[in-house]
Order: sequence, then C-alpha cells, then structure tokens
Amino acid sequence: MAYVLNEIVDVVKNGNDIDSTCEVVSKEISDKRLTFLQFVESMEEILTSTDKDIRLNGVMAFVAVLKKLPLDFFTPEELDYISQFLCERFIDHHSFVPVVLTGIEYTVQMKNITKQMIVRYFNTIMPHFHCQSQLQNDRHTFYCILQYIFLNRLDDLRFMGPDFLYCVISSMDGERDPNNLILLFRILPQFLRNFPLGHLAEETFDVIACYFPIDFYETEESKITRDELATNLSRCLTCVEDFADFCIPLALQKLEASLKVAKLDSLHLLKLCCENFDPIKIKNHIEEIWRILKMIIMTDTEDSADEVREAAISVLTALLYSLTIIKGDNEQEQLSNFLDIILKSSNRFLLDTQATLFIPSIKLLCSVGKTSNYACLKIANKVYLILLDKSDVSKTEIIRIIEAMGLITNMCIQMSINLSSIPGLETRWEEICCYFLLYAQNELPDIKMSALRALNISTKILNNSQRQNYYCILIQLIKSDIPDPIRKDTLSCFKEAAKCFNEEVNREIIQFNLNILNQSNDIELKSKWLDALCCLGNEEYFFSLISDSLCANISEKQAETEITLKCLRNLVKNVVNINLLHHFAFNGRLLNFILTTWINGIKSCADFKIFRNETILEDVSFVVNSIVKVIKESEQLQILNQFSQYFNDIMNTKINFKTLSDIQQGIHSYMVILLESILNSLKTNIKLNNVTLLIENCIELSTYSNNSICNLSASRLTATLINKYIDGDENDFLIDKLKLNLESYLNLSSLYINNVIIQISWITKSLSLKSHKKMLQWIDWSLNLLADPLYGKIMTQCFKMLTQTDDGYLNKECFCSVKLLYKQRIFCYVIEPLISKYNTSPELTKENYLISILYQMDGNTYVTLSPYFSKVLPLLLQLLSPEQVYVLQSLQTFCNLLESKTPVLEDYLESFIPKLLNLSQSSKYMNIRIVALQCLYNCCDYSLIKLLPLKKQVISELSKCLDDKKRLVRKEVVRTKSRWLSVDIVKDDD
Amino acid sequence: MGLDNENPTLFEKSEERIVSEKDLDDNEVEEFDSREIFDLIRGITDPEHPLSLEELRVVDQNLIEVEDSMNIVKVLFTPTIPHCSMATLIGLSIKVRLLWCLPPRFKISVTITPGTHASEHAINKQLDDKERVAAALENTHLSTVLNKCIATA
Repeated sequence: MAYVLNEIVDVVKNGNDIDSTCEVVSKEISDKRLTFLQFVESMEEILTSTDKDIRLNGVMAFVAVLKKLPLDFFTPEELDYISQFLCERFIDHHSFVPVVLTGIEYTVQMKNITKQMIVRYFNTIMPHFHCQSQLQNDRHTFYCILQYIFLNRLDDLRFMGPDFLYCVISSMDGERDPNNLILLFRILPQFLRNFPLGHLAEETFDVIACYFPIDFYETEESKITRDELATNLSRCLTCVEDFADFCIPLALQKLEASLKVAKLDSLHLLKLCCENFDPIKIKNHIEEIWRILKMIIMTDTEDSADEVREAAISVLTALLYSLTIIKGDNEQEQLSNFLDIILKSSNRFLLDTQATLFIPSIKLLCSVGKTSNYACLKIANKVYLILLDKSDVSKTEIIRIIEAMGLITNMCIQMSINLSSIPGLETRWEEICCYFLLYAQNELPDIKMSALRALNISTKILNNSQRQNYYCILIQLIKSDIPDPIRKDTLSCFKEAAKCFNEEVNREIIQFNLNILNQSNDIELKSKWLDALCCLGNEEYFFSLISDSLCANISEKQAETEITLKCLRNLVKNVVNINLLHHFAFNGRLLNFILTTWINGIKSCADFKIFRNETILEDVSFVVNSIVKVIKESEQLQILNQFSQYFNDIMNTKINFKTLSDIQQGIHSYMVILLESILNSLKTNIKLNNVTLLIENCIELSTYSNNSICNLSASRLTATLINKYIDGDENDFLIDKLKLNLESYLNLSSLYINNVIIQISWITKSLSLKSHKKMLQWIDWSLNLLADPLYGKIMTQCFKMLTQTDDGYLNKECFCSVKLLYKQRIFCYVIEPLISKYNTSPELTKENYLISILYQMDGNTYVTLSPYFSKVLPLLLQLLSPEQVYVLQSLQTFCNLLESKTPVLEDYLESFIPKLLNLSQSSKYMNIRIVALQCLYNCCDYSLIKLLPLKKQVISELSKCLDDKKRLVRKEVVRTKSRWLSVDIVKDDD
Repeated sequence: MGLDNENPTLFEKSEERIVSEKDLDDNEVEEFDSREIFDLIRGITDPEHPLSLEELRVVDQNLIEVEDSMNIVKVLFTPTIPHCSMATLIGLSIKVRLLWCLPPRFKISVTITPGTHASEHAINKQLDDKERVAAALENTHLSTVLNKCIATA
C-alpha cells in the first residue's frame, strides 16, 4: 500500500507515466485497500508545491484517479470537498483549465452530486472561463458537460436564469469546429425548449443563426456531412416559439440567394417554421412567403430548378396545413384569404390555356388542394368553372383543358370529394365527365387520347348512364382501326373499368361481344377482342373467361390460331399475376387443351398447316414452357407424368432415324419440339428415366431431321439435358462417347454437317455453362474445327453462341446450372490461340478466326479484355481501313469498346482517330461511314487533355464530310462535329 | 431581372423525320431540303426559357428556303413578342448553328420575319455582318450563352 503511494509522489513529480500508476491507485482505492483521503494526503507535497508545473501534474493525477473510480463511489460529503478543490484549481492558473474540465465532466455525472455543487461549478466557470480561447478538445469537453446538464440537471440551474443562458450562448459564440457544432446543434433544442429565454431570445437566435445556411465542404475524411449539419441547425432554429419572429424573415432573406443549396436549405427551414410555429405567427408573413414561393414555383426558368420547385411546393403545403389548424371564430377565414391570394395569382395563367404556365399552375393548385377538403372544394369550384365556361377553343386548347380537368378530378378523388358537393357545381358536375365522353369520340387522335386518360382517372365517379355511354365508346374503339398509342390508352381504360366494375363490364362489354367474336370470320376483329381480353389478365374474375375464349379460338383455321397464340404469348410473357398461369395449368385446362391438340394433331398426321407451321409451333412451345416454368415442382411432376406417355417413342426407344418411314420421321421431328417445351424448365430434382437414351435420340434427330426448327429444338434439348442431368465421373464416358459419335458424323455426307456442327456448339455451350471438366476438350475441338475449309465458317457460330445468353433457354430461370464468370473463363482460354492461329493460318481460313475473335470481344467487357488488349488492338487497327472486308463488323466492335469508355484506348487515340476520319470520308458504304462517325462521337468521352491536340484536325476533317450525299450520314456528322466543338466548353457546375 | 415574356404560348412539336427506304440506299443522292435545315435548328433552346425554338414557333419549316444547286439557305425567324430583347441572340444562335453544320459552299442568310419585330432592320443588318458575328463569337460571355442555347440542338 505504502509502496504505491510512495511511488506516486515520484512519478507525479517527474510527470512520466502518471496514467498507469494512477490506474493502480484507483484499483487499490476501489478495492478498499486504500482510501481516497490517504491518496490525497500523500500528494500534499505536490498539490501545495509552489512550482505550478508540479501542481499541474498533481491535479492531473488527482483527476486521473478520480476518473477510474465508479460513479457511485463517493458520499455527498466527500464529493463536496472534491468539487470545492476542483473549483479552486480552476481559477489557480489558466493551464489547469483543461484538466479540471475533465474532472468536472466526470464528477457532474456522479450519483451523489448535489444542486449546490453544480451551482458552485458554474459560479466558478462563468466569470473565469472564456470558452472560445480554449483548444478544440477542451471546448468539446465543456460542451459535453453542458450536454449532461441539459439532459439531467437543468432544473438545478433554472434559478440562475439569464446568467446561465448567457454563459451557454457566449461559450458557443463563434465556434468554428464542425464536430463541436454538430454536438451543439443536437443538444441545443433540448435546452432551449426547457429554459426560459426571456430578453436573450434574439441574442440566442443570432448566435445560432449566423451559421445559416451552412457553408461546409465535406472531405473524404470528415465524418460529418453538410446535410446533417443543415438538418440539425434548422431544427435548432425552429425549436422554440420565441424564434418565430426572427426565423421566418431569415429564411425569406436567404431564399433570395442564387445558390441552390441556400435555396433548398431556406425552403426546408421555412417548411419547419410552418410545421412548428404557431399559425398566427406564420399568418403575419404569409404574403411575403407567397410572393417568393410564387416566383420560384411559377416562373423559375432554370432547368435544374425542379428540386427547388418541389421543395417550394412542399413549403406551400406545410403552410396550408398550418393555416387549416387556426382555431377561433373565423376558422376558415385565414385559409380562405390565402387561397384567394393563390387563386388570384394563378388566375391569369389559367385563362390562357396555351401558355407555358397553364399546366404548372394547375399542378400547383392540385398540391394545394390536397392539403384540406376546404381548399380542395374551393379550387375545384374555381378551376372547373373557368374551364367549363371556355368557349371557342382550338384543338390544342381542348387537349390541355381535358388534361387540366383530369388533374383536378384526380385531386377530388384523392380527397374523397364528391363532385356533386362542390359549390357551384351542384347542377353541372355531370358536365365534366360528359365533356370527357364527348371528346373521347373526337376524330383527332390527340384529343381522343387525352380524353381517354381523363376518363381512366374518373372511372369511379361516372354515373350509371355515363358508364353505359363509356362502355359503348370503349366497344367502338376496341373494334375499330386505331393507331397503337390510342389502343394502348383504350385498353388501359378497359382494364380500369374492369377493375372497378367487373360484373358490369363482363355483362355490358364482354358477353355481348363474345358471341360476335366466336362466330365471326373477321380475323382482324377477333384479334382486337382477344387483345382486349388478354389485358384483363390481372383480375381473377376474368381468368376462366380468358382461358375459355382463348381455347375456343384455337382451331384448325391457321389464321385464327395464329392470332390467338400471339395474344396468348404476349399474355404469358408480360404476365403480372402469376395466378393466371396456375389457372392455365390446372383449373382452366388451357395447357392441357393446347398440348393434347398438338400431340394428337402431330401424331395423327392431320392435314392441317397449324401442326407444321414454324411460327405456330414456336408460339406453342413458348407458351407451354412459360407456364411450366412458374408452377411448383410437384405440379411440374404431375404434368410430366400426364404427358410422358405420348413421348414414349422418343424417351424410351432407341431411334434410328434413317430407317424410319417419312411419316414417322415427321412425327418425331415435330414431337421433339413439344417435348422440349415441357422438359426445358423442369426443376433439377425431377428425375428422368433413361436420360442417356433421350440424349442420344435427340442428337439423332438434330442431325438427320431436315426441318430447321426441329433441329434447333433437338440440339437445344440435348444441351439442356446434359447441363441438368449429366454429372459426376461415371458419366464422363458418355460425353466422350458423344464426342466420338459426332466425330464420325462429321465424315458423313455434307448434307448433315451443318446440323452436326450446330449440335457440337450447343453441347460445348452446355458444358461451359456448368464448367464441366470436359469443357476444355470440347473447346479445343471447336478451335480445331475452325481450321476446316469446309465447315470452319459454320463453327464460328459456336464462338458467338458461347458469349450469348438466351432469354428462354439454358439459363438460371430454367434451372440450368450456370457458373459465375463462365464467359470470361472461355474468353481467356480461347483468345490467345485464336490470335496466334489468325496470324499463322492461310488466307482461306484466316477469316474464321477473325470472326470468332470479334464475336468473343463483343460478348465480353473491358475488364476481361484488358490483359489481352495489346495483342488484339493491332489486329483491330489493321482492320480499320476501307479496303478490308470485315471493316463494318470490326468497327461495330470498336464502337462498343469506345462506348464503354475502355480506358486503354485513350492512349491510342492519335493512331486510330485519323483512320476513323479516313473511313468516314472515303468509305463507299453509308453504314461504315455512320459507324465510323459514331466511333468519333464516342471518343469525346475521353479526357480533355488527350482530345485537345486532335480537336482542330477532327473538326476540319469533319467539315469535309458535311457535304455527304446521304442525309443520314450528314445527320451523324452534325452530331459528332457539335460534340467535338463543345469538348472544351466549361460547364456551369465546373 | 424580369423576363421579357414570362408566359409564352406553347406550340406542338413535329414528329421526327421518317427514314424512307430511299434513305438507306447507298446509291441514291439526297439534296439538302428545308426539313433538314429545320431539323438542325429546331432544337436550339430559347435563351429565356428551357423551351426549344420549335415549341415557341420562333422557327418554322415553311419559313425556310433552300436551293441546294444554287448554294442558298434562307431562314426567317419570328420573335415571340415584337420587343423581344433576345431576338439578336436567337438569330445569332441560328446563324452560328448553321455555319457549323452546313458545308461551307452555302451562303446562309438569317433574318427576322418581316413585320414581327420593332427593330427588324438593325438586327438583320447585324446578323448579316460577318465581322460582327465573328466578333460576337470571340466574346467569352456571349459564346457561353450561345453554346448553352446550341448544346440542345
């Protein structure tokens, strides 16, 4: 015990290692092996030393020991002495202040601290402490003390009144450190709200307000953001009612600044003012506020002002909310007066419907109207009457009037206001929808469209007879030949009507016309109705109807079936409500109907074109595939079990295609398309029997069938099956066997070679996707096949296929195994052999390698390309001359590289820009000239410093192209030249 | 500063030019026509509003005259109001845009539609003066404004 105390005297005297020794002492004290008194007594010599540095060390040790003791360690009596001691040291010497402040910070948090001690602290601090002459850290300590006091002991200091308040504001007056400021902005509202400000309110406000608007540049290290500071500051400025008289003028004054952040900050502050201050106070400034808001909302012409404008509108809505809550005799009077002001200033814009500000002012009024029912009624009344009474209107005016009325109607619907309850409109409200209905029948497409949009909004408020009228209009529109945009609007109206009044729409529109639809021979008409029906795919109510009418229109008649399948295809492709597909698969029996129809048709060799037509078969396959894809695993299994019996010939018996009769060959060829549609998207847990046999049969079919869609289906199915089901070492032999078979097929008659090559490509792709260990073998094989003069050209397709992803096949949605970065892996593997072979092979096969390289480059991003760039670039540059055959293709690749801002190219700008300029002038083909110009356009994305030396040359060369004989080329020249002319223009924000 | 015309009337924009099959044929030759000139200038932004000259009907295809064989392009433009102080600037931006985008063989004339502006003659004279156009482009402030107008074309 004595040892520690002896030691501490020496340690403190020398000033070394005070902290660790004090820690030992604190431990001893808190373990009651030593008392605090003993510790202080042992320090007597130091604490009373005449040398102030030694005394300072003593105080440091004192505070250090204190800080390590628990908060409830001292009794009130002990604490009293301690606080007295600290207060005396505080005024001892200015260098003691920082350390004593830490001591105070810790002791105020102690459990037994009393009001008297806190008052003593502040009585010492107030006259002797000038916060802003301290260092940042010490100021921070003081603010931390304040934070604790504000939160827990504010009542103890309340009697000090303005003195304490003055102490607080003078301590922060002039603070510049962002860390301290953010702390202050956070703690001040708590204090200001709970402490009477009295005559110091304005002074207090000024001390805080001088930071507004915040001018702070964030750096990467700063943990504080400008927004954070700004939000907290505006909260301080609006936290007490006393500030209202100063705050609103401040916000309005800063709002006139030209800086965007200042404007936004001021608008935000103004919004808080409206939300927090007494509406009566706001009322006094209302005209001033509106004058400025009006200027921003209505007439600010800056392009970038949208954000500001939105903020201004939100202030306006806050203002209106605030006005609605003014209570008293004239409850509505204030609001009403203000609304009058707003309406008066928008009035002149409302009168001229063709002017720029017509729609913006309608939008402004709509946001105003959404703040209260009263405002909504008042605005609706005013605007509707102005618009309804307009006569002699031109075509463009009608469009805008309808749009405006639509917006106002939307506002009323959102506020649940009945149009008939709007004063002044009791007798006329029906005119509004009649107006829309009238113009929906107008001949001019633009008017028709805007009327339809307005009707779409007002569907719910149409009365009975108007609805009947509306349905007639919709029927008429659906039936007639109208341009696509109008049909789109018509159908969305139909959809909305069906959503709100499903039974009525079913009765009045659908049932009535369905008979015509089913009996008519007019294909066009049928297609229109089916399209319309299909757009109701979101509503459960219509599921059976859709399913039934689609089934009813699939028949032997090719044209009808074709359009029905087209509608169905679009429906399943863009389906939003997945339940519809479930309905098709089970309850609606649509899937069943389609599959059985085609299976029976193909098997019985029915003499109808629909079972042979490529587009139809493709649509059928797409529809079946899309439905199977979304249903559950058990449901997939159910479908598979139900239909697999029909595919026995392909799935369970070995096919020898050449020995089959022509009829059998045909049946097999078409059946495989249906089989693919079912198997393509099965989940991998569903096991197939005899996969190997099936794969071999598919290869047989893909090789010998002479029907291109069947070839494609069969080879793609092979690929899917291999990807999903062929795993593990035991199946390696199968892959090898397939390879041997295909190799032998290559020696067959040249008739089939195309098919074999495509099959090889598909299998290579399938193996690559899942990174099968045999993958590289197959890729090597493909590379070698490129050298063949006979079929090397076809093989290039393989290298295209490897980089492409198909929406419906061999992807994760079809539950195939797709490894990350497989494309990149292949690229890295093939690119070097391709380049070296290109350089060494004879002219005849050279181009095969070249095309493959271009395909591979197109399919990969710069990151993958970059390591090989130095090798590929010379090849590309070589190609950029007018006499090359592949110039267009390589230019396209080059253009893509430039578009993605490939960094490496920046260093070669001066080598290829002249080549591009040459191409754009001297090529015979307009397409080449256009792409070359696009390349030049994209060059401008590179850094200015590289572009400037070339600018003069480019512009003068481009001027020569301006007289090109083709207009499309000229258009491109103008675009490119303008871009080059403006590369060195300094933007406003720079 | 207040705007000359704070609430101008808006007109419809015309459709994009339709690309015909002839346009895609390498052997056909297409001459400059009024629509092509119109397309070059219709997107220029008004110095006062974020609106194009087409929307404000300052330029109109019917007021453009082109004779390719004679190397002549004549453009008439109509300020939104007779006292528009921006008329010179608008004329200058049309002129500069055409100078940059047409082959040098053309003689380009940009003038105010007769009877639509108070100081028509002064402005026409100014726009026709090569020296003054060149001098205007040297002026940093003016060229910044011009570039801003033309950037959207």
